[in-house]
Order: sequence, then structure tokens, then C-alpha cells
Amino acid sequence: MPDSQDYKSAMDKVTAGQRWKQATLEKMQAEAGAQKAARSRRTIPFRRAIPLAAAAAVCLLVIPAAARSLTPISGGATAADQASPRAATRQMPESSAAADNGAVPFALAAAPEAAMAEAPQDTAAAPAYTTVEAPSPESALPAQALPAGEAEGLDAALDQLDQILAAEGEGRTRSDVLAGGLVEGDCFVFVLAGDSETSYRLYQIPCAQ
Amino acid sequence: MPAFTPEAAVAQFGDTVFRAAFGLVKNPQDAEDIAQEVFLNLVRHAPQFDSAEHQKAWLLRCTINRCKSHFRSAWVRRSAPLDEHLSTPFTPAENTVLDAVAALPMKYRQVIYLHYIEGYSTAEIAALLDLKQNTVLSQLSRGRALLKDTLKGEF
Repeated sequence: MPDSQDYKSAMDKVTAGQRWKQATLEKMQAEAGAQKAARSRRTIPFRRAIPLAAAAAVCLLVIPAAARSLTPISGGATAADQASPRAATRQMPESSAAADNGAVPFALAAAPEAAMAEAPQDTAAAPAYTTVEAPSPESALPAQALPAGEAEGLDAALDQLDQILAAEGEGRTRSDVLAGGLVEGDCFVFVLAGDSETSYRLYQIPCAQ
Repeated sequence: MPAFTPEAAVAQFGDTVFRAAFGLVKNPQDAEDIAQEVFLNLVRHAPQFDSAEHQKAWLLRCTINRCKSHFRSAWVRRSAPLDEHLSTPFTPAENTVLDAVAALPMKYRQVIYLHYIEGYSTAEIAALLDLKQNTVLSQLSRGRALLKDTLKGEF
């Protein structure tokens, strides 16, 4: 009859295989490695984690904002300027009258390409004359100016003046010249009426060589 | 207690754990899986042991719990058990007694195994399984009576 001795002898024959032991060891080492890695990820002390999180949040908020504010956009204004209501007011026409005259608020301004096309015209439109306050056209001439008379090159100087006046687009021509003269240094000067009764425009035209 | 290493644990208690699992599930493949899971639990939980005996008791308790979970799983309950034994041949008497023990309910099987194979006293089994000693005594005597009845002899 089988008894407990048979049970013991049967169980004594039961042993774990070498291959199972090896596989178990490998799995245990892999598990230990994974646990170590997970623990090292978790072990940021709470006291250190709070300042780190705060610093990260500040960086996330501040750096993009600073980058946005420093990025130049057309017209030299930064995005921050554009976003600022004060800056917007500053760039708006001063009065509604100005707006009625065709001034366009910056937000409705022409495209950047158009603005760039306008820029050289602005440079060319810089006055080619000097405004002089004087009681009469003759007194507006420089003190050392000599009468132009039939000076050589006068016609060429007048032609050049016509071109300048035409460019100004105010419909003036050489016939509007109130006084003229020749300044030492081979330079013709012409006086035209200014914006007021005592204001004159003084054009200097170098003599043609 | 020397520092725990996976190598030392498997070398010292690998056979014990595997044997316990086999004694309770009576299937070498399931026993291998269960024993492996027990050692992985050892790595995961890394409990502190006072002695090698303490570690052995922890491993056996863990093995028994794993075996109970194994029998509770739906897959095991629905699948027919394969009557597989180890490659090592058992004698007919050994086969008979193994089958008889395997046919016992789990609560009797575990105390029979711990008492006859691991050599624990009823007090130690009670501590290991977190049971009252009287409960262990009654389970041991009922299990033994069932085996006597099945084997028609002494146990």
C-alpha cells in the first residue's frame, strides 16, 4: 500500500530544471533593472520638485513671450507694440479729419509690399529746397549771390529746376521763379514762393560742367 | 542575513519553490510558471528577512497563494487537466499517492504538503498560513483520513 514514504520519495525527485533556473534568474535581473530605473525616475525629492516645476512653468511662460516681443515685424514695430493699445493709439491718425483725408489706420494699412514700394518715394519727396523767411524774394537770396543775367549754363539750370518742380507735383515751372542768382562756386539759386507771404523756397542748382 | 541576490535565492530555494508548486498543481509547466512568478515577486517587493528560514517561509506562503490564484482562474477551471508528470519516472506507488494528494481539496493538500514534505509542525504551518493551530490540526487529520480512504492504507 502506498504511504507517506512514497509521497516523500516522489517529491524528492521533483527538482527545478537548470534551464528554468537560468530563465528565472534572467527575468529577475531584468525586473530588478526595470525597478531600479523606475525608482531613479521617481526619486526626485518633493522639496526639489516644487522649485523645478515652478522654474519650468516660468520658462514656459516667459521665454515664448520674450521671443514674441523681440521678433520684429514690418514697420519696425514689434509684436508687443502691435498688441499694446497705447502703441496702437500712437500710430493711429491724430484726428478723424486725418482719417477722412485718406489716412489709414495702421491696422488697415497697405500690404508690406506696398509699404516698401512707397518708401523710396518718400525719400525722393524730401524737399529739394531750403525754406527761407524773408521780406522779399530778392532778400531771400544769399547775400553773396550775383545776378544770374545771361550767365553760362543758366538754361541748363532752369531745365533742371523744371524737372525738380515737376517731380514735386505742385504744378510749378520756371515761370514761377521770383528771383535768381549765381553763387560763387558755380551754383545757381532760384527763389520761389513759399507757404506764406514771408516764406520763400530757395532752390540750389549746380552749374552743368 | 547576507545581502539578498537573485542568484542566491534561486540557488537556495529554487527547488523548494518549484517542488511546492508542483505538489499543489501537479503540472510541471504550471509549476514552473508559478515558481518563476514567485521569484519575480521577491524582486518586486524585496521584503526584509530575519533568516533563511524566514525567507523560505515567505516563498512558500507566496507559492501557496499563487497556486490558489491559479486554481481560481477561469482558464484552469474550464480546461481539462493534463495528467503530466516530470520526465523523471515515478514508481507506480509514487504515482498513486501523487494522484491521491492531487485529488484532495486545496486546504488539505497544502497542509499535507507542508507537514510531510517540508517538515513543518502544525504550529509553524498555522503561522505560515495565518490560521489557528487547531484549524491546521483538523485539516491535517481530515486530509490524512481522506488519503487513507483513497489509498486503503496508512498515511
